[in-house]
Amino acid sequence: MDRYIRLSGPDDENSYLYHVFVTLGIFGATSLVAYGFSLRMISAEATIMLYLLCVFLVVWRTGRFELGVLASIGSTMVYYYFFATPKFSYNMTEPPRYLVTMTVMIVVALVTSILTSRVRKEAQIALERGELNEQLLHLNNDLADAKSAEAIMGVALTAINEGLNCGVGYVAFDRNGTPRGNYVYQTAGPKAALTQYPFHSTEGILKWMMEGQKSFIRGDEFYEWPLRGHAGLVGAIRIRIGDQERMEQAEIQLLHSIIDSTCLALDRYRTAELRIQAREEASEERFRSTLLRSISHDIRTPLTSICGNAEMLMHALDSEDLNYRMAKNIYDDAQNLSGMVENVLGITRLESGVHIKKEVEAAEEVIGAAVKLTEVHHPEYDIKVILPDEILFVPMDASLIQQAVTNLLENAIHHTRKTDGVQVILEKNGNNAVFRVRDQGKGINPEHLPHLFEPFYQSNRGDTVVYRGFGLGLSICDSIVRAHGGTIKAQNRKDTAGAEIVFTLPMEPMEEENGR
Amino acid sequence: MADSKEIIMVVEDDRQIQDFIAYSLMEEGYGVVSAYGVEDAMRKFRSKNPDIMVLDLGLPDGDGLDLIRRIRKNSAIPIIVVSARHKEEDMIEALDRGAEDYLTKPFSTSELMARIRVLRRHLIREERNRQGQEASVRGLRINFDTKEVFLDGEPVHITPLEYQLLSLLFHNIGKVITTRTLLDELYGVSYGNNTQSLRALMAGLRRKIEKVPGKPQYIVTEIGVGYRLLDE
Repeated sequence: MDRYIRLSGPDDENSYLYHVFVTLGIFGATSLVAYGFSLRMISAEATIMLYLLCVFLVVWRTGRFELGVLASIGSTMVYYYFFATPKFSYNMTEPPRYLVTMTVMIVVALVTSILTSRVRKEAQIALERGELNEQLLHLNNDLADAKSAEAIMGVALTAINEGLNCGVGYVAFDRNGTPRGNYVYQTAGPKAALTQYPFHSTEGILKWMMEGQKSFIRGDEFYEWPLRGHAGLVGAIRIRIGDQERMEQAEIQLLHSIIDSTCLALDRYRTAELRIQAREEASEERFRSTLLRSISHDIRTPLTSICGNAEMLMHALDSEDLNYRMAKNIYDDAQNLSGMVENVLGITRLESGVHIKKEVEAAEEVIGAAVKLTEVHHPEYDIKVILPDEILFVPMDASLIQQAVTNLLENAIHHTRKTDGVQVILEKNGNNAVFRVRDQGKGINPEHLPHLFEPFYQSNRGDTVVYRGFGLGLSICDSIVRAHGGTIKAQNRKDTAGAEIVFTLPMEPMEEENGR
Repeated sequence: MADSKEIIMVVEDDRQIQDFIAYSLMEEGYGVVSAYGVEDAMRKFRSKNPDIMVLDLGLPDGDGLDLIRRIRKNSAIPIIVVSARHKEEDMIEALDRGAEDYLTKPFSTSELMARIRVLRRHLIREERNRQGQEASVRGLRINFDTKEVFLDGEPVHITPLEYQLLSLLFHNIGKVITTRTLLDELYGVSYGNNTQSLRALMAGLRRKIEKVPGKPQYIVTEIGVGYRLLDE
């Protein structure tokens, strides 16, 4: 399975004998042509040029400088004997002439040899690079096809095995950057085996891998190559020290490329996973909130007629009448249901991930509206409201905060029978507006305190009516307050029996008003 | 149908709600015309000529806002809009476009009756075509000529802008006034959306006329909509 990268060694497949034959062949052909020239009375200059061409061709085809030299000598001798006048003899009286010619030819042979060998080398490099790129492309395709992080690593390890012909190890790191207990090692060769070994490494090496810049570091047994993705250290590839030191520059670069590609693939995979997850979550949310919203709407309409009809019955009956009591029960239940619908809608608005739109409001106004609403539903209660002298302007979503205060008031009312025992206090504390809702009931059982704001948590506090509801009221307050960047806390009062729930909202500095 | 009291048209597609509203109105002596959709409403509006309209914004066959626009072309009939959702943009727009007041489901008959009573009083006042020099509600009294305000007989020192706000509320006593309308009237249409000044103004006014500013008895805040000067 030679699919992956194989770096080529010296390219010379042809034997020396082959090159000698080529030389002779070119030389022979040239001589024939030269003879042809001489028959046609073509001038001597043309013939010598021909032999120059011969030398050039020899060096080009064989790549061997020494054959070029031989060809030069041979050409000179043949030319001067057969073609230059006087023919068929060596004119020994003019030695410089053929020496010069021969020297020139040899120089040409040299230059040609240098040039052609450079060209040849560059062609070789280009070819190799082309092959390398093509095979890296294959590798990347395989990485892209991989359906999991394990598959990606499998592809990478096999590529290293085959391309570099050595074994390779891999250790994975978890999200915090701590290595797993074991690493795997895959040996190269026909019987490639993947084995697990316990992972040991020194503090220093691990630290370096997290923070270092270079590609690899030398450990005790292995060179460690960290795989760094967007989110940090994903894992490390391990090459035995002996194997790596045997590699040439080109092989190290190849290893680099493989590891880079693998990092990219891992990152891509992780990002795709996250995106799919986010999309699923978003559409689940949208579905859920649409469902909740339409349910609430469909509940409110019949609730209206139930409330209305019950009210009319109450008006038509004498308050001593038993039927009046029944009508009132119907009415109260419908009101209760209505409160629950408010809470359910409140959760929808908060959890659908919509950022609340804050506007600067006068905190006392929102409190006043909440108190009024509560007193309409519980006319026997007289809620005390204590405000500071200055007007506190707080950025908030008024209807959400109104709902929070209403829920706290309902909660207070349901835990105390004392009709004048419920208070709302507004204060300023530094850069925060502080809202306190107090009652004078029996107080909160300490074991309930940490759970009060959990959804669906219902505590039956000693002195009163079981609060029928989903148990959502307080958890909605918690969500609303936190969505505003505030804090909420429940505690028992110190000055008297009873409980207090406190929440704060940050106040931003007031902007300059124009012309008030 | 009693002919001493007004005729009220109820535009609502849900039969149960139509029934109980119609019933409670008739108990109070009002005449009732029921319509179940936009086109039904337009037809009956022309033929029966009601005095007050109660309009549900969640009609299946059309847009409540569009109905208001069509009616407002040649009628000033007071309209109460009903919606299942708080602070729905449509509802506020309905108020800005000509509806007088609103109700959110679930509402009680007493709320409905209270709203209708307010509109009746305004109708009667308009018919007599005068507001008079003075208006008062419980302990609060305003004199439109001298521009003075009295609380339980004692004069109250208020700024000109506070007077303007109070006077607007009195002219619309019992009805809701949207924040937008108040901003336009008090500060001018080009003021933009800076509601903070209005809130500050209101808070200051409350501290002068309310016994407990945190539990206002005269001017109540309708969160997300505007303000209302209670008349009973």
